[in-house]
Amino acid sequence: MPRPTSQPNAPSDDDLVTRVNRGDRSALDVLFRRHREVAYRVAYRLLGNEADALDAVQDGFVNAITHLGRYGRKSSFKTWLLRVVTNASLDLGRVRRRLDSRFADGHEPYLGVADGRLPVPEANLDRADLRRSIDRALAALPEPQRTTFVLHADGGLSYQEIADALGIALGTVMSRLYYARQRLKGLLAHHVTP
Amino acid sequence: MTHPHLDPAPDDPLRDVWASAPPPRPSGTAWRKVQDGIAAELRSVRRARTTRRWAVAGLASGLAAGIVIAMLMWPRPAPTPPAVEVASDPLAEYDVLPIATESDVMVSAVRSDGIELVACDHPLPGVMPLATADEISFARVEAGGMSVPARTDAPVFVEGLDK
Repeated sequence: MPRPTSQPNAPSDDDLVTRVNRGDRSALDVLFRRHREVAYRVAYRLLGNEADALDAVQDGFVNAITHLGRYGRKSSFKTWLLRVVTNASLDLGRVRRRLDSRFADGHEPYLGVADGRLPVPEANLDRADLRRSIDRALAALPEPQRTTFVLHADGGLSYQEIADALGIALGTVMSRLYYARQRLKGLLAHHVTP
Repeated sequence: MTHPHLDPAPDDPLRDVWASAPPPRPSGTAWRKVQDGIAAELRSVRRARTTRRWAVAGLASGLAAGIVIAMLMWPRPAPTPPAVEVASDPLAEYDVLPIATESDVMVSAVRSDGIELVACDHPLPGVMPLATADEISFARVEAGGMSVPARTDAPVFVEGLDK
């Protein structure tokens, strides 16, 4: 599988990871810059806020590099990284939800959707509001569908790469994506122009 | 490809929604903080691995040294003395002459004036095989006794010289 590189003569991810493991700080800089955006997008969509997403990215990079033995270099480093970042995000999200439910005192649940449809948006809905709507819609999906959809839509992984990352069958990926899309179209119906 | 769950049409409305509301971009400072955090954690992991490697090496060396010392200090069994040859029994080829024990003998003594009568049963009933005159030959007869040829060490009863 070709390793993503930004320039023709740029070092491959595998080379960079080997150098990072030897303590090469410049290799870490290159590897981090190459993959930080996509890792952050996935983490943000799964967590709904920037600070937590950056924490998940940090945990993800550290775990992806230090547990390369489990990765086995069977897929691309990006696929492996997004898998680890996804797990870190889900773990962090569970901790946050526990804390929120402990301190919420009956307030609105974390990114919850009261009924099957999100609140009707204001006429001049800005980007932040739309982002919040997306966050709420994603939070309303079952975790497997949400993870699969985010890895595809925000992580840019192919169906096969998602199957590798999550350890599921290709057909399961397709089916999860299908149902996730159906549900999201319903939840974001106010923003979706048919 | 006709799978119903396959990629959505290019004009999938969700694409536009997703594209119009990307996550907020972190600042340069935020990225640097994350990168420094990653570098620090990796350094910590490398240090812990090095320490663990040395600890394992030290433990293995100590274990090996302990085994060697234990092998050297372990009490060894005393050397067994060489087997002493026991002289063969010269009478092994003969039947042992049966001898009565105390419990086999009932002795009744009658004492009277000038008379002492001892009566008892034969303690070992049965025939006691003895050598006959044909089986004995005298090599030399002297006044003080006789000499029997050293053909055997078996005991010999002699009834009388006149026989």
